[in-house]
Amino acid sequence: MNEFILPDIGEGIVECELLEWLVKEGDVIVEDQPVAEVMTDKATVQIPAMHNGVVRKLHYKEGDIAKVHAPLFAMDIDDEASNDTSVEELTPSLSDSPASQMIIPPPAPVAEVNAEKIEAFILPDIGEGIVECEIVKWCIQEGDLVTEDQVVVEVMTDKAVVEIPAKYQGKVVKLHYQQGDIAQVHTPLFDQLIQSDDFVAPASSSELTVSPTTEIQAATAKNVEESELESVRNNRAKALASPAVRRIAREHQINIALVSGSGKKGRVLKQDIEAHMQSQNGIPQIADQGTTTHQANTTITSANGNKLTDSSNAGTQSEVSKVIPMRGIKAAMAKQMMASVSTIPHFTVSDELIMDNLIALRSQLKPEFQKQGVKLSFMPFFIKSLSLALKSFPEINSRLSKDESELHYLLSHNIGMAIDSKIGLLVANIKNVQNLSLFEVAQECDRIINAAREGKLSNADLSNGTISISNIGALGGTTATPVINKPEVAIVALGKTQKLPRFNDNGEVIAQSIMMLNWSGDHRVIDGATMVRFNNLWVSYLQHPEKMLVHLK
Amino acid sequence: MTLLNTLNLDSDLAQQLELEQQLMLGYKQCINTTNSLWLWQATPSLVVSKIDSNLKNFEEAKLYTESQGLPVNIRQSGGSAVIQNDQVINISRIYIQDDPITIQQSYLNMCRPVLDVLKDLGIEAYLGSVEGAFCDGAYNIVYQGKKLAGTSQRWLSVPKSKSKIILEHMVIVLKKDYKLWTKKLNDFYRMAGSTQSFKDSAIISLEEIKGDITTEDFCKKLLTEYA
Repeated sequence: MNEFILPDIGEGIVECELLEWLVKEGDVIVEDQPVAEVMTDKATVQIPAMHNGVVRKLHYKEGDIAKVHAPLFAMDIDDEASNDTSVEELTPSLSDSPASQMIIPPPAPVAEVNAEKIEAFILPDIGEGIVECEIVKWCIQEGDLVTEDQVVVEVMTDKAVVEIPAKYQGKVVKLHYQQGDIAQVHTPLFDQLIQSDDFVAPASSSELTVSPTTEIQAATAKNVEESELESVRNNRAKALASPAVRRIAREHQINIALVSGSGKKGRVLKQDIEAHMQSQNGIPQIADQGTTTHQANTTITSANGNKLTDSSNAGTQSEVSKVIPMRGIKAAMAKQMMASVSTIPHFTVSDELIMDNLIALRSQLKPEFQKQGVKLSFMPFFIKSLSLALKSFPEINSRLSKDESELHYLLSHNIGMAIDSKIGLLVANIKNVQNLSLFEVAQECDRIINAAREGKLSNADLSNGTISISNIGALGGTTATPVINKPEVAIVALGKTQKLPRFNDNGEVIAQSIMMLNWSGDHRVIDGATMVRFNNLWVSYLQHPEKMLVHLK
Repeated sequence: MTLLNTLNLDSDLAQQLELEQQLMLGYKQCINTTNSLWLWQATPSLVVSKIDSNLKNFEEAKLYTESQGLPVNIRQSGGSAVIQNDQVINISRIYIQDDPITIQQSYLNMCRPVLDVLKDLGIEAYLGSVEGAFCDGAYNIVYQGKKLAGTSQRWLSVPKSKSKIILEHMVIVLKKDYKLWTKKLNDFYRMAGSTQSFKDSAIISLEEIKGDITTEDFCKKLLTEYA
């Protein structure tokens, strides 16, 4: 008999109410058949079965509170399903319901144990130059059975929390780190007991740049011979491929059986699909599809770590009222800002921007944008005009080489916005603003702000910015000395718009809408005169936005 | 997003619930492929969740409520009982979600456009629970500590797929007289043998916050925001 464990059904949810059993004891059920309906957070969710079999015991009555990670019901799994060694079984086509991945098998007979091995999962490269990351949240625990592609852990790098999916189906026997620990890239993250049948059908290397290398107990493992696999493959006319690769093939209407696999045992990899498409149609490579592939998905979430590792600079007990570990985004901010101010000689230029014309133009354009579902704030004007000004001052959109011997002018105007998100300071950037219309910039602003609110900014959104804008005015700030987002060379802080008295050309006092602009520049790259001239050009676009028309393509 | 009968202002509650059910099953059977959103009001009635229908004296309470002129229907989404009439507006959205998403994210997706519309109207609302409010939950839309709107969801799995079919539902209180119905809710629960009780002071209506906007104009703004 096998226990079906109630899976995680929501962030932080540890129990739920069993609304209705959709099966009864003795029922024969099939894979994906809803077996129960539960409610949490006022959402009702159906829990589907993972296997064919017979329901033996329901552990709760309707109306009971069921515990997450506790057995929900017991069932006998069909022998055929559990013993099937077809290629399809070796590369399970997963239902995404966590429930469907939670069957805990009974203690295996000795012979079966001998067909298993313990494999260490090595933390893969998860970002450019990143050698360590923080364990934000284990999504599984020791003893859990996980399936290929199931998210096992969330780790945080300098910029984002990344979900790491399992490479194999198997039971987790050891977690090498606790939540809050710092894990080293290329070291074991957890150990997994893997069926040897599964082991010969690894996940596509294109989906995760990791290759588990530490085989702790392989001596008695049962290996499936190449010839057997070939035989099965020929008999079933099925290709060896992961669910993610199968989905890519389906999305591009490719019969995966016709694709020649370059992976181990002829496994079809993502690049094989790409090559197949190119050979058939000359279609360009499949673009990375973010969350629609099983590459390490990037989401922004809050970190839960609470382990304090270094308090050497902390005050004495009597001076300290509270100790909070620097974690996650805060820790990343501390590191990034320290690197900036300790290596970049900052200088600041401030100026006033008369907003009246821009305010009028925005009011005029806002309904047009709204008709197309896009909110028009002032930010798209700032971003687009900044890009136009950068065309005349390319050194403001440059990077200094590490040895300070070269200045690299950048083609792309990837303009960042500092966002005060729920989890801390994030700088997300809009790519290639030089090629975007004002409308497209506004669309991107909307997307990025919404993504930040949802905690769904991608690593791409947060990477490769070339210059940044910080809108301190949105929170009521007037002036600031912003810190450059290294390796960029300039940043501007926008103050709030204030109605202030100013003299006009006739010496009369008039009311004007004024915003303070506060630039910080890298004095190794930019001198004060250049910064002022650049700012003058930018301000001229903003004060007389019609001027931008001359340069818009 | 397909907008279905975008402003259905005098419908039968049972028909609306059936429409939701049929659309969800349509997705499951791959008959529907496009997402749906519509706004609706129902004739006076009481809609309860499956949990309510398990209450000890539910049948008696149902009969009593119906004798008071309020037909009782059971909905598929979560939460507790809600009075339906023309003093509230409902938003139903059904879509198929291919990428992983949490229940909480789904709530945020549903609430954000409404919060934006309210903000455009100068109403600074936020999400949270309100003690004593009907069908309380963490994702109410709240104004000055009072419940302006409530939310619930239903999730279905798509066989052999990672996708989910999600029904998001929101009810927004439009008229201040809606508070008067709180007694009916309390009567229902008392008759059903439940100790649940609600306070009319925990509710606020759009009319009280911004009396110069009509239901039609408000609905048009919602539809524009969701479209």
